[in-house]
Amino acid sequence: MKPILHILLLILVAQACTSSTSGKKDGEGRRILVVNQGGFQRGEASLTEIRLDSRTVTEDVFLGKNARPLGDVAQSLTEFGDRYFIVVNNSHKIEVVAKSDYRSVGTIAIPGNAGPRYLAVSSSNHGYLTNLYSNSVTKVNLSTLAVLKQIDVGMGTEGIVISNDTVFVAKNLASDFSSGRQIALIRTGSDVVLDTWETCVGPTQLASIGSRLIVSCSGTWGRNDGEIVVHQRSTGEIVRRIALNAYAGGFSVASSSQIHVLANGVKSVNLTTGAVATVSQKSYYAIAYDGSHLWLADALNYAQAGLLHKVTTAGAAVDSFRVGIIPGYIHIDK
Amino acid sequence: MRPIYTTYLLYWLLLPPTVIAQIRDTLLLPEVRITDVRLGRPDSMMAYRIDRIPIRTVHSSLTLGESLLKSGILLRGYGPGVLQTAGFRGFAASQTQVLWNGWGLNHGMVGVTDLSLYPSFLMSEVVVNRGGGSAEYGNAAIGGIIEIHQSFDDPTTIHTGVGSFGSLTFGGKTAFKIQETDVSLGAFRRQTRNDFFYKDVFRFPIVDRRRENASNELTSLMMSMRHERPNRVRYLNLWLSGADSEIPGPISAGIAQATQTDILRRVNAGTSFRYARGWIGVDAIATQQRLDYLDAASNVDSRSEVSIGGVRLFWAMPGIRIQTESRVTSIDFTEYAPPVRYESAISITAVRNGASGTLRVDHDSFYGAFWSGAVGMRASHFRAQLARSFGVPTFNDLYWPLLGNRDLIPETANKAEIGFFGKLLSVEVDVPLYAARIRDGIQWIPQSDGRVRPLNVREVTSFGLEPRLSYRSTWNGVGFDTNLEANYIRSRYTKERFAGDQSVNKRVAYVPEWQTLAETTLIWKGWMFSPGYRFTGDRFTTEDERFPMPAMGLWELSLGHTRHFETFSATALWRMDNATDLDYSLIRWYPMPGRQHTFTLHIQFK
Repeated sequence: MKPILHILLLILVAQACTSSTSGKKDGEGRRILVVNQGGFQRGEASLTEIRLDSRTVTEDVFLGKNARPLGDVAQSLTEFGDRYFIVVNNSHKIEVVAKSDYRSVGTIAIPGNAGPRYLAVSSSNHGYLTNLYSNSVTKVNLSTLAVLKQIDVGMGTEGIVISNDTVFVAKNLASDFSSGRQIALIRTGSDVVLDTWETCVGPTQLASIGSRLIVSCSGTWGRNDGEIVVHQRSTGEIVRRIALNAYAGGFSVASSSQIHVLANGVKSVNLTTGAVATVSQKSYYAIAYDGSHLWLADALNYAQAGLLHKVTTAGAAVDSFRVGIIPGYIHIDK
Repeated sequence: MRPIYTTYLLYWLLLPPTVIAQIRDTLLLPEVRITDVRLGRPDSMMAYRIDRIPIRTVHSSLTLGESLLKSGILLRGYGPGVLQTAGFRGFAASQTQVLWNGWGLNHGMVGVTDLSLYPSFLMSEVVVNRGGGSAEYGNAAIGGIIEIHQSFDDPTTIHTGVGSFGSLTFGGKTAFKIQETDVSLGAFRRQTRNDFFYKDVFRFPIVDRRRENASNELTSLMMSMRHERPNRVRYLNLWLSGADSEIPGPISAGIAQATQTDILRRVNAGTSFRYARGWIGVDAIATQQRLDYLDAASNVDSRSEVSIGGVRLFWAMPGIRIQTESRVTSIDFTEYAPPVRYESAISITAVRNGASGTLRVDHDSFYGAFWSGAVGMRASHFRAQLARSFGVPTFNDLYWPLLGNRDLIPETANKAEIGFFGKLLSVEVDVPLYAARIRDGIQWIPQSDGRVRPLNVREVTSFGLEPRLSYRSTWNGVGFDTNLEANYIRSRYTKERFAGDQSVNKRVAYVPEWQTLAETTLIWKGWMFSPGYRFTGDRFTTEDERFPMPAMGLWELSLGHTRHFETFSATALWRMDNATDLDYSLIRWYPMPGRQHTFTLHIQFK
C-alpha cells in the first residue's frame, strides 16, 4: 500500500478514544470536552465544552479565552493536575490550558514536523508523546513545559499507555509508511527501549486492564481485518485475538472484560469470551464511555460542525449535542 | 472531505488586444470580426455576456489568476505564486474550463487549472464567459469558461520588472513574417521569494513572521506560426512551461517542506479551407502535464504525467456549424493506474435572426452517452439563454485507490440567464440576471464504513445579478475610462446529503454574497493614473456558516508614463497593490501579502 494512503487513513479514518472516566454515574453534573480536529490544513481545531447538568454547550473555549485559534488538527487531550494538555497534530505542539478556565498556561513546541498524537503521563509526572512523522517518542516535563528528550523507537507511533514503570507505544506505521505491527516498550526514568513486541496489523490504541494489554488494530485498509489483541502485559504473549471483520479504530473501556470499539460502526467486545456484538452500524469518529452510556462523535462530512451523541450501550439514542468540526476526541472529566 | 492527496493537489497544483489568428477559420459570418474560438460568433451575437479583461490589466499582472483577480473575478488563492482557481456563480473551480485555442487546459487528473501557472505577459486576450456551457465548450465547462489567446500582431516587446518580496520578471515577444508565414514568439520568466510578513495569530502574543518556503520560479515559452491564403489556413502553436514552487502550507500548520514541479508541453496544429459557402477544418492537440509533489517530511513522493491527444473536425457555414471531436487521455501516476479514457462528441450550432441554439452529444468510455444543449436569443437591448451542461468525474474521483467510485455519473447543471444592455447618458450598462442549479454534484462524503468516497449528492442552487457600468470619454485631452461592477449572488446548498446535514439553505462555502469593483483610468499626454477598489463581502469557510471570513476591500494604484522615440516607445509603470496594507487572505490561514510595489518597464519597438 502506498505511503500516502496510510497518512490519509490515519488522518481521515483513525478514530479517537477517550481518557479515563470514573466518578459520577451517568455523567450528569460532569464536564465533557470534545476535541475537534477541524479540517486538515484549515486551522479549524477547537475545543467544545459541554456541561451535562445544564446542557450548555460552549464552542471553541480555547479561542474564547485566549483570543487565538487552537491550531491545525487537534488530536487528543490529556488531563493532568490542574491542566489540560491538548495535542495539536498538524501544528506540532501541545497547548497547555488551565482546567478551571481554559486560559493558556503555555505551549510546548514539538521539534520538527513530528505530527504529535497522544500524550501519557508517568508516575514521575513526565509526559510521553507519540509522533506520527518522527522516529521518536517525545518526553516532556509537564511542569516546566520543556521538551526533555526524543526517545528513538522508530517511525509512526500512535496509541500510548503507561503501566507501572513501562511505557507501551503502538507503532502504527513502519519506516516505509506501510502498516506497522509492533509495540515498543520504554522504561520510564531511564527511557531505555526495553523490548519490541509483535502484535496485529496497524496498532492504534492501547489500554492496560489488570494484567493485560489491550490493543486495537486497524488492519489493512480495504480488507476488513481489524482486530482486538490481548497481550499478557508482563511477557507480551498474545493470549487472545478477536477478529472484528472491519477496519478498526479507537475503543473505550467499559469494564475489565468489555470494551466498545469503533469498527465500521460500534461493536461491543467481550475480552473474556471473544464475543463481538454490534451496537451500531453507523460509523463514528470518536468514542467514550462515562460509566453507563456511550458518547459517540459523528464528524458528518468533515465540512461542518459534527454531533456528539449520547447512547445506551445497546445503541439507543439518549441525547445529542452539536460540537465543532470533526470531533475526534472525547474527554470526560474525572 | 476529499482524501489528503487530492487536497494536496487541489491546494498546490492545484493570455493579450483581439484574437484573429487561428480562429478565423471558424468564421461563420464573414462580415463581422470573429472573437470566439469555438463558436465563431462575435460578442454582439452571444446570448450571454462576454467579459474581456482590459489588456492593461492583463499586462500589468504577473499571472492569469492575478489579472482575473484585479478584474473583480472571485478567486481562491493560496498565496502569491501558489495555486489559484476561479469559480463563477456558485460553481466550483473544477467546474470552470480554461481554454487555450479552444482546447481545455484543466488538469486531466484533478480537473482544475492552476491560474498561477500562466504568465499574462504572453497573452493577447483573456475572456471570461460565465454564461457559456458544455454545449459550446464541452466537459467541465459547467460553470463557466476562461479563454486565453495569443496574437500574431503584437509588436516586438521587451519587459522587465522588479517588485516586493524578491519578485523579478523578464519577458520578450516578437512577431515577424517568413515569406507568407506569420510567426510569433514569446518568452517569460518569473522568480520570487514571496517572503512577505504576516501576522502569526497562532502564537501568543501575536507576532509578525516572514513567510517561509514560498519561493517560486516560472518559465514559459510560446511560439505560433500561421500560413494564410484566401482559401486556406494552416497554423501551428507551441507552448512550453515549467514551474518550480515551494509549497508553504497554511500558517496554522508547521512550516511545510513541500515542493511542486509543474511541466506543461502543448502543441496545437490545424488547417482549414474554403468549401462551398463555408470552411472545413481539422484541428489537433497533444499535451503533456507533469505534476510532481514532494514532501520529504511526510514521506510524500507523488509523481504524475497526463498525456492528452485530441482532434477536431468542423464544417462552418454562415449560420451553422457542425463539429466533431475526439480525445484520448492516459495517466501515469504513482498512486494508481487508471485505464485510458476515450471521449468523443458531435455538436451542431445554428444562429439565425438573433436566435441561437446548440445541441451536443458526448460519449465517454467511462459513462456512455450524455447530452447538453443551449438555446438563446438576442434582440435590441435584451438577451436570454437556457442551457444544460455537464461535468464528468475526474480520474481521482473514479480511481483513487480503495476510495474512488466508478458508479459516479456526470454532474449536470441547468442555467438560465437574461440580460439587459445598452447606453444610458453615454454610460454603457449591462445587467445580467441568472439562475443555476447543479445536480448530482460530486462530493467526497464519509460512508457507513468510515471511508470517505465521492458521491453524486451535491445540489447547489444559485441566482444573482451582475450589473456593470462603463464610461469612457475625453475631456480637454484627458481620457477617462471608468468601470463599476457589482455582483450579487445567493448560492445555497439545497439538498440534504446525509442525516444531520446542517448545510441545507446555507451559503456555499467561500462564496460571498457581494463583490464590487470600481476602477478608473486617467490618461493625459503619455501619463496614466489608475486607482481601483475591490470589495469582497463576508464568506464562510464551512458548509454550515460556522467560520466567517470578514468582508474586505483592497485598494490598488497604478502610475505609468509612456515616452515615444523614433524606433520604439518605453513605458514605465509603478503599481501598488493592497495600498492600505490590509491583512487579508482569500483562503483561511493562507495569508496574502500586505502593501506591495511593482516597477515594470516595457519597451515596444515600432
